[in-house]
Amino acid sequence: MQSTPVLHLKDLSVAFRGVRVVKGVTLTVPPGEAVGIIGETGSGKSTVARSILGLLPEETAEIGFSEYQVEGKPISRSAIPSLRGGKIAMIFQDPLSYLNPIMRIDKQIAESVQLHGKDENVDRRVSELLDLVRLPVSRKSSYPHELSGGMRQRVLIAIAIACRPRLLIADEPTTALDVTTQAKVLDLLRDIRAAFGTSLLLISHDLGVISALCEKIYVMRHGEFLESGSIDTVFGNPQSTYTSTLLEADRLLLDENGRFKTFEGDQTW
Amino acid sequence: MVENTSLRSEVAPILRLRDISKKYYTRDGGVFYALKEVSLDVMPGETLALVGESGSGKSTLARMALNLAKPDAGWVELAGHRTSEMSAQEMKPHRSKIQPVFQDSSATFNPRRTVRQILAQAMRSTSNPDDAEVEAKSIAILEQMSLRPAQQILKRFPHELSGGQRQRLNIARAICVNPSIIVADEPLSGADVSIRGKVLNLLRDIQEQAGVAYLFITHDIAVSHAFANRIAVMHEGKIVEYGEAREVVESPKHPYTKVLIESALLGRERLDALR
Repeated sequence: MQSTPVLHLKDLSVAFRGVRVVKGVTLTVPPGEAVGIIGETGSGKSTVARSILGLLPEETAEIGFSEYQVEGKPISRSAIPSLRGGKIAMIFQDPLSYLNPIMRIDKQIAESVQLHGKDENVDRRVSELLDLVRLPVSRKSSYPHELSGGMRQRVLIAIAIACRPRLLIADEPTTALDVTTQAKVLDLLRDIRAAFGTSLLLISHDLGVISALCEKIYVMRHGEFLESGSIDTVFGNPQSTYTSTLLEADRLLLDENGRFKTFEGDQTW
Repeated sequence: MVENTSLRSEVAPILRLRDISKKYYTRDGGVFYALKEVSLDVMPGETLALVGESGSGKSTLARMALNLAKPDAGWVELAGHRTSEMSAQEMKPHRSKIQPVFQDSSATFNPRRTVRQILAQAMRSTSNPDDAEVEAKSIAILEQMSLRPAQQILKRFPHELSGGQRQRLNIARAICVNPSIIVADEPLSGADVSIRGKVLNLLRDIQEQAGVAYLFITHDIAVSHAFANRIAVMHEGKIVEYGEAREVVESPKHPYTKVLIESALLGRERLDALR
């Protein structure tokens, strides 16, 4: 029972108007673990994240998979929306576009508690959540625009964990934040995981962010997972040249001519 | 800092910023200092990284350096001329010496001008080259930026270029007037790590060939460490630390610099251990 993955998604493919952007990837998130997907712009990592909760536009996205299981139970395509909030929740890069600009944040958190939660004392739960994400009580009746980027991300996290999901998907949660704020948000995600055993699927282009939080990683490029495994294995002994070049580029290593190492033969820039 | 100046005393700084302050009045009548008595020197041909987080005042300082905004107190000197006291008209003959490269490469071009027109306009704004000269120089610069085939690129509109190509066009436009210093405001933000090295290599090549200095504005202390000669750390409108890049990063003195480095290193100790 212990080893039943919280999420198992097999052979996921996504195409937009006939263009395949995710080409048959298989993803497993073990219970309580933090798994990362690393990739650059356009690699398809956000598309994978959105597919999990059925958040892609139905008119344009063709999604296919051979197996979808949550905590060992098969999930049909039509059941995906019912996973949102209670089983799987998600946070995004730009919290401002996911918050209602004309509603006070405590009301927005309360909405999420009421929508997905059972008979809870809503007020008590909201205070508990605000406390959990370390948002000062004095800011609870603020509107989103009155908060800093880091605070808004905390509000989004409070909304996401309101219904005690088993898996939290975080798509570039700290990319828009300053490094000192980023460190605090990552600490918060780490604490939530430790306190509630919530699994984490972290999508990022930043090797440091992924390494700070995850045990397991998938390296994604051009819609495929090039390699996967524990961080120590993948980053310690990369099998694909892409992964090694990514590591070199991240460290800003210089070659013998004193130039920054870059991707050989990549004309796309 | 005093030692630095004396060491380089034979060479005058290309850009001097002295005791610059800029204040704003808040709604409740308070005073907010976006910049408070900031002083910096950029030497010819060097890279000075100005590192700070959002709201630290680094972009405001960049605008002062370019004479796109006036300080409330203090002054700016460009190649020995007090530009901060000049009007736009008086600034014109000096404009080519200092050029910006802004972060958002799509917002800095007129969408209805082709690459040819964009480069020609930049060159004609500071001198009077004839058509043949403009064409030859445009092609040479596009080649230098690896924007190939140059003849094809000249006909394109900005929206027909990729993000990386637009960023290089941004750099091309800045260097086509032979500036002595380029103020680059977050030129790498939005760039993937695979692109980052290429942009840095390109900037370094230009520096080696043309001897241009960079005031390199960034939030990324790791890039500053690898790319800049010197670093100035900005926090809440003040320079809190200023010195050789290696020294600032490897033995930071100010508590804020320490926090900044610690945060940037997050997860990277683990990566380094795997090396």
